[in-house]
Amino acid sequence: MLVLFGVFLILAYLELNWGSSGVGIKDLFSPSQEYSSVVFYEIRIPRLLTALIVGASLSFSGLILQTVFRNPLVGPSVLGISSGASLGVALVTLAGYSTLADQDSSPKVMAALIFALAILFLLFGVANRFKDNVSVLIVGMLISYLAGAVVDILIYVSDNEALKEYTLWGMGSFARMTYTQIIIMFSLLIVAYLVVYNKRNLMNQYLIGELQEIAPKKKKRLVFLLLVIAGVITSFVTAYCGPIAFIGIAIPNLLRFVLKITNHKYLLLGSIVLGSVVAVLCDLISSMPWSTRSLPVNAVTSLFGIPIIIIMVFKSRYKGL
Amino acid sequence: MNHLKGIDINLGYEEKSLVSEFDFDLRSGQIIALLGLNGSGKTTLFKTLMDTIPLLGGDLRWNGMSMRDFSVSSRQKIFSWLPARRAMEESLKVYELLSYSAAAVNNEDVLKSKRTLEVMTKITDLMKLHPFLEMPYHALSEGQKKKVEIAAMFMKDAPVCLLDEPSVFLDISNQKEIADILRLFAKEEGKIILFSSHDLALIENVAETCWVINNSKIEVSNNIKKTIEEYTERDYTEMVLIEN
Repeated sequence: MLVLFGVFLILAYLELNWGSSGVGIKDLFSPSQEYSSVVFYEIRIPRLLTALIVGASLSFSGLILQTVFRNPLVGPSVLGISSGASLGVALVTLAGYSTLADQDSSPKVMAALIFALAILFLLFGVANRFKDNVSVLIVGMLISYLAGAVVDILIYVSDNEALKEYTLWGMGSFARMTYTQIIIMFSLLIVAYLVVYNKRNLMNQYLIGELQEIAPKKKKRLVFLLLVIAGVITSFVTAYCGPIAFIGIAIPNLLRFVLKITNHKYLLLGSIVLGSVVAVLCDLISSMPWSTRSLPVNAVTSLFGIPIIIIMVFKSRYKGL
Repeated sequence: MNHLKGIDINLGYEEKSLVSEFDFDLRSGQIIALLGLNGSGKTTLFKTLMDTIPLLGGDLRWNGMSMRDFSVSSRQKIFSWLPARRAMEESLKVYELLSYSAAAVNNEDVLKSKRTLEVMTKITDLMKLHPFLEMPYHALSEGQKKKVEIAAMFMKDAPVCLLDEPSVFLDISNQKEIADILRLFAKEEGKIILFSSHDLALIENVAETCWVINNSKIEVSNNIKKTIEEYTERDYTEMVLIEN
């Protein structure tokens, strides 16, 4: 834990110190500080906070979903939420209601949020009719494909400008959240953590099959609660930052692998801490401090996450499934 | 002294009643063996007691109170259950399975309570589980898995233990160990133990009372030896009759 905190402090310092404008922390105290403080308070600090919260949220939801589906390869994208958000953004951008020139990102965020939540609740409507969780998973994936098909149609008929904007959104970014949005997301995450932490023993009992065998009603309530929480968090994150890839799948696996435990008392907090640190690291790499250009965050998280997942598939404690 | 009583109970499924008009009265320390052919309603009886299958008729009383009004959580605290096959995360280590199981009844953070640690030490000593504690469940043999599951069942410190075929996959020395542990928990911890089995040696060895499910009725007998003889003879005759 202490080591992680140390790593976090170093990363946070670097993240704040480096950026394409060439402003460093020391410039804050120099005579011409107006420009630097704008860079700081309007760009770099929100970006750092966004990376922290998004990494924490995605890895937290990923952990919850992996427990619910008892499958280590499940992540926040499986419930069809990312596709829902994509569909919303596609409708707004490709239909021309929002353009690259627009500074205001709220139509996109609203559309992404509405569609992500709509798909989430559609899924729950269907899920209640099924007995097992795997059906939920399959329906979630099928809904994703449906949304994807509609997006494809929209892409086919749209012009270059709109297409570029949609593609950029899809690459993900930590540079899009305002302070208000950060506060909303942060409170949401705190509430979610407290609620789920309170259920840590039940989640452990779920792992050993105790709930399924002896208290199926309790199990049903627990699964529903966890799905709603993971779904809502993911919807918000995706709406704000685009579909950030692989953090949600890779971090819980990495955490279980490093700590060698399954107790949710520690995993829940661990997923938040490790998720946020890794997200900041990925963002730092994507901003390429040695150059004035930057990479899409999704490319970095994929490069980072996929090898972890491949290693886990071979070495994982999850051999049962 | 705990007390589980069934009054005129009726169990099975909506379309098919399996057992009807059964009365029983169980007290701490009793060990009951449940006999019956496949599909006669042994597992259904267990599940009805735990309320995962609704009771079709009659009433169940726990220490004099009707269990109808009990919440899911309070029922969960009364019964610990050994299913024939457990759907669990197989990557768990043995000690994790044991400690999560303990937390199911006292709902504390695992391994904090002194009582849990005591029970854990006692069970791992008795069942000689020390070499397995750090091993993942999936790496165990079928017999070892069964043993660990029985240990997990006792780790959940509930007053009534229901075991569905506890001796399947076990070799002779392990069967003896299970018999010893069932007797010990009934005697020292005052558990009410109800187990189903086709293992006549185990039944003869540990049970004080026998419940035989036959033609939708449960016959209660205290003469185990005689019951087993009658049971095997009757079923064997029935099978021969059916075949011809």
